[in-house]
Amino acid sequence: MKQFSQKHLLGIKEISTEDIQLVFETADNFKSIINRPIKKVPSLRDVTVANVFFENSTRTRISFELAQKRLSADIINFAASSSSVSKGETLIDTVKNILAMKVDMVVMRHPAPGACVFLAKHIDASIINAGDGTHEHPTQALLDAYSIREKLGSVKGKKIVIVGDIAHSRVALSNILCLKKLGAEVMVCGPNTLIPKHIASLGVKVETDLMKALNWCDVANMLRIQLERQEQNNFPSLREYSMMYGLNEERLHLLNKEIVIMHPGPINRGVEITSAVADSKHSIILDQVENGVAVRMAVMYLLAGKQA
Amino acid sequence: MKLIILNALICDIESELNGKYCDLMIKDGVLQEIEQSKKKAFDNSPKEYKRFDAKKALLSQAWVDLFANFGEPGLEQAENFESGAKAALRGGFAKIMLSPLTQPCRDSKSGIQNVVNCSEKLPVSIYPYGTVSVKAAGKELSEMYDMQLAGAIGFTDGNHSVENAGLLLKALLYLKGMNGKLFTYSNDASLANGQRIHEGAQSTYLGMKGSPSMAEEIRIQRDLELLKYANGSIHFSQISCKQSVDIIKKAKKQGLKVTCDVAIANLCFTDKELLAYDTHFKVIPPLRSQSDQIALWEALADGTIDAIVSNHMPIETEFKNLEFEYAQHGMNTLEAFLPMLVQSKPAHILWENVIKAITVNPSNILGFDKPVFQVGAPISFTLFDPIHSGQFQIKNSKTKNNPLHGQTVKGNVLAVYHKQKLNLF
Repeated sequence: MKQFSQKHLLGIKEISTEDIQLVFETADNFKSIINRPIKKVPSLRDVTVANVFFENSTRTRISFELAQKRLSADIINFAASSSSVSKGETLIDTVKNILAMKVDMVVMRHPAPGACVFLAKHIDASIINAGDGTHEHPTQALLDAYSIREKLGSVKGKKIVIVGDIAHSRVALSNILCLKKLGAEVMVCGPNTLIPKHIASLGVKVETDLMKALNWCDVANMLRIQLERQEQNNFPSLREYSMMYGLNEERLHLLNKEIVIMHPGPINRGVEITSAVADSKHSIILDQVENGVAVRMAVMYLLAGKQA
Repeated sequence: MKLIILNALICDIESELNGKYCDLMIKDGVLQEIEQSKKKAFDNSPKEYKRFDAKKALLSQAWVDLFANFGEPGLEQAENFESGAKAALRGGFAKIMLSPLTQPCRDSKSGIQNVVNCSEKLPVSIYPYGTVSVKAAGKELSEMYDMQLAGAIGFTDGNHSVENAGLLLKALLYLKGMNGKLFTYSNDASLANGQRIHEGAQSTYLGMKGSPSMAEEIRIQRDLELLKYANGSIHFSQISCKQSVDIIKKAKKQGLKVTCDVAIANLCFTDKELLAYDTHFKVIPPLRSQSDQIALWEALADGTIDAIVSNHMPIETEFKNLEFEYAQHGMNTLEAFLPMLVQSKPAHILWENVIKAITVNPSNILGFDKPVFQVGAPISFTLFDPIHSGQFQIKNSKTKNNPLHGQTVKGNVLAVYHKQKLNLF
């Protein structure tokens, strides 16, 4: 049986294309399972997973928790504000304390880029990165690529544009790395103030004109504007952002083809995407959410197998 | 103390004995005799002369560091004068200029006097900088004349780059009138994104906002204009990128009174080291690209960069062993200085050109007497072996925040002669 090559899932950059394919194949099985009347499997029985969230999250946390429940894992949830670091306890101490209670796997979200890489140097349990600052969000990238594969048959050769706040987005970086590994062509689109200067070094195209980007692509992944992660105003107003980069029906009608619309959620309706587009037949936003559970089940299952 | 050193390879670009094996006779800190090595050298010298065979190691003027951080006062747990002095000595240094960014910072006479008083009892000489502005806050000038009288060697706000152009101009004008020296670190904070990492492919790959070279370049450009207006002199501390080198080279050609230095960390490492978010490499200025590193070495060889500084920054593990974002900036470099040099020095750059940047040049910048190997002149020296290989351990400093700690490295300081005392390692 094929095995996942890594002990952790810290980011897409650490895993191989074979690992990604293995996650997809495993997720296929789990997706069929969670659509059955009895959705639970015993795969992770006796495995204890700690969901350690140093940053707010609703959907990622729920998705992981549901995936864990479907796999029959024991779960503990720990939510701490990032300021707990300044209150005294360090990340290592916090996690070591949790691990002392015999926890096998840690799902962590943290506001600092590289926090999971750092933690992996200090603890033995498997770590799944559920988002580390502006660095990576590997399970999101996996579920996005999985959803493209499901919708279009494969990812290879497809043209995918990621629109919006590239500079503050872990979803963008993980998506770029994942899609490139799978052989897709990737473009980023947004105001220059939200695009890292050296983004082309990742092998992506850069476009500031949304219509040109949409005309080019097969799939448009509309990112959420991360107001909370911006230190300075990068554009004058949400209204103006929406004027330039908001995806609406009018723009879709101007295209002479159909494209697939994605969004990692939560959506700012009326900002990066209008309700009509988000709820249209082009949108696979809710498929992404469903696939998120299957993909996360696959990742935890594979990592648990690696542990045993 | 009476001393004879045998078989030392002189490393001093300004000496005619450079590159020659020599024997030296020293009495009470004064060079009595120096001549090319021969058999039975000084055989008839009196018995009280202690003889030491250098075994062909390099002997240079004692090293001078233009910028180091000791924690005293306020952060003695990271480094006090005593531990810092021992670390400096072990690293090959005899004279250390201390950053004024202590707690409280050295912005008045009493802080300066404290360093001057403590220097006497230490094996190395320590000299204090005073701040340019009160509390190094960049708002109002500190009492620089008073501090100069008390022994301040120069003035700097450390790695707080002076934001206010008007204030820096006033400092340049004021210091010119009292023959004081301004040292300034160049960084436009509004562009630097917290100086976490150099902006480039690496920062993009790691998902971190970087500090572009431009943040340093723009500030140097501005300060050179201020310098022209003031017609004074300025020293740019810890430049880190190619663009800065180019600008300063041009300014020097124009005849402006400009000098500059580079931190050993920027000579030794690049942003490639940050791939695993290793906080050892989180430093100010940030580690730049490989092309910057190459440009810095070339600028050192051609004399555009005058000095290499340790920028020694001891940090306790509690503040370093954290997420990259939260870890403090800085590297503990005094004891690792030679191994860091050896590790990164391009083969075509000669040792005498490198050593000049930690001996003659900084002495000139500070206005010290020019160190010379001359009979009848006072002598302090550093004896070092760049080829020796062994496990490197930081043993004297209070913290260990250097990536070479515990590694097998090349380069070992064998002895430092200073204050009429031979310190053997």
